[in-house]
Amino acid sequence: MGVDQNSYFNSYVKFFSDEFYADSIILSSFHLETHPSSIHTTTVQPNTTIYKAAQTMVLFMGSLQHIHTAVNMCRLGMVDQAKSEWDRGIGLFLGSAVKPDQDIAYPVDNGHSLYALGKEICGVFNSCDEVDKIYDAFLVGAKLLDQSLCTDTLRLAESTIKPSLLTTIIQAMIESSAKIENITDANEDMFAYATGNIYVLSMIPLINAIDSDTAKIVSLNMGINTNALFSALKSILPKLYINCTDLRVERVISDGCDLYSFSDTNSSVAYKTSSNITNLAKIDLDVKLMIDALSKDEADLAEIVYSNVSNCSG
Amino acid sequence: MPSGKWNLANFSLHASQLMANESTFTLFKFALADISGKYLGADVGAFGDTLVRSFFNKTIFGLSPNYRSLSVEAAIALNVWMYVAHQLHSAVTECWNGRANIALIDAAAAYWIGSLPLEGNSTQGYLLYSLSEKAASLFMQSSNAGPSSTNKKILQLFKQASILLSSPRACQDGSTTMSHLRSVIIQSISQMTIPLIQHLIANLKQGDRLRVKIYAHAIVPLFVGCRSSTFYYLKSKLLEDSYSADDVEEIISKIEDVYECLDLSCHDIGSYQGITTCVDATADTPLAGFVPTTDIRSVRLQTALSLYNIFV
Repeated sequence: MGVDQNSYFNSYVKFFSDEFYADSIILSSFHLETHPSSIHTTTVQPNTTIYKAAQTMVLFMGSLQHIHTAVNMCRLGMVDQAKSEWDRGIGLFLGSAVKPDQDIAYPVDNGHSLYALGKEICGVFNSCDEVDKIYDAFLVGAKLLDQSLCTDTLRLAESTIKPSLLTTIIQAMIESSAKIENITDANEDMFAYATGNIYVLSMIPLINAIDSDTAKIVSLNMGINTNALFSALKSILPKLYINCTDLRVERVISDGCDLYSFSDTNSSVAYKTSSNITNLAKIDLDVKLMIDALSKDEADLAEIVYSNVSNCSG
Repeated sequence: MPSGKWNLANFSLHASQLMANESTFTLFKFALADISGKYLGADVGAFGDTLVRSFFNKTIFGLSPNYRSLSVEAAIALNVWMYVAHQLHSAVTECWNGRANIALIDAAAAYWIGSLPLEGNSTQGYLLYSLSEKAASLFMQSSNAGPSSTNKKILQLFKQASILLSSPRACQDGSTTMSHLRSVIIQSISQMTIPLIQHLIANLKQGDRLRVKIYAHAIVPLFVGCRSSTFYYLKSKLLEDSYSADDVEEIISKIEDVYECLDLSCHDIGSYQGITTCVDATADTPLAGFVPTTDIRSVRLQTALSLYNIFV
């Protein structure tokens, strides 16, 4: 069973047994910030927890909530309100994109939003073009709502925006896990562990809703064996509508995606990529666009796709 | 691939520049060029693009709704197929120059399969994997439990090539990678012709002349390195579109004659709707009076390709 749009929030509530799970995590960290315990000898860990939980839990779910509300309002014919909700969704994704205060210990160049996290992490995975695509998809969604194309907007949210937002969080989790595995500097520990903890808490409820065994493996291997974590994670990615190759893990861990995998009793067929071929394989999206245009008898549009559209890049 | 965005047309439009020294592409150019070295008045190297564009035609659409997808099929069978072959040839060339470039094999697999998830014998994809599954189903080669034998073998060969290139000292002086890789790549290209042949035969049987045109252009040029009389017969009938319904069985028989040269067997192609007419040549079939003592069939595709290229 996959996790659909409506059950995202419920997955978190059920996992944490707390309707205000993000609030609870953040508030407990505020307490630690003002009353550091012997374990938390500095305020780095609670600060990091607050900041990261806001980024990957509050802003993520908030953005999804507004997207969802926008589609519902569109369906009720309330286009202006729908567009306003959609804009709020964009706002929570993008943030104010203000350059950070130099005193803040978390070096980001694009603000503190989920978009900022995407921009921060994409350099490691060489996937910044994918982050820009989320932004583009939000703009496309606004235009679809303008034309009251509610179902198309929902499809865009399901097939592009949600998986892309999750891709950012998963990449952050993988990068963080790999970093923890190689920690040598004790001062780095506190920030890295707190960050990794929030990233994994941001994903585990969704993974658990699909397969509890996978959730256990991911949780147990976080920061210990990132290859094993990824190997387990791969199996549930299709349920989150995420294409494994979009994660572009090749630069961070030695494991990779199976471009194709099949086993039967007599043989095993699997082609595992060792390089990043995501953008090459996407030539099939151009083919799909051509087929869509041709099915509507739009030969001119199909020829434009054939000659000009490029989902594939080298 | 040159960096930057790359659309389906570019696969063909840049072929002359990228594939000039490759045997597979050279065979196509040789087979399709007119006396002025062009194909239908355009660059012969861009023959795929020329054909694809000829199908963006509402008059053709009007003949049958089934004809709407001709341009897509042509783009896959001509442009993308040749580009997969290009990736494989490039891997051999790179290896020859001392570089073990696995990314080229990955790219070949990417273009064969695509990015959309596939499961088992799915025909839901959009590229050559899917085209191959559809062909297999027409030739009774589908498997309920998984991919067709053709796709299975192609992926195994790609994997083999990838493993060869990832071995220590691959493609370095004194390594045996080059000869093994060359052999695997030739076998891969040979297997890649199977869905094209299957679609050609199926459409000949179904009387679908426009699809025959696509698949004839996708496969007949490769026969030029085999038996010239067969090639010129098929070129006249299929590429120049001079056949009649009465010729179909003879044409198919001529195509079957070429399997051996492509290192294929009747079993590899299967039987259209289960009706078997094809008979394989045996390993010791006399060759111009000479009876070989070993199975030399696999040498022939290599020889046919090597006539046109120094690498493969």
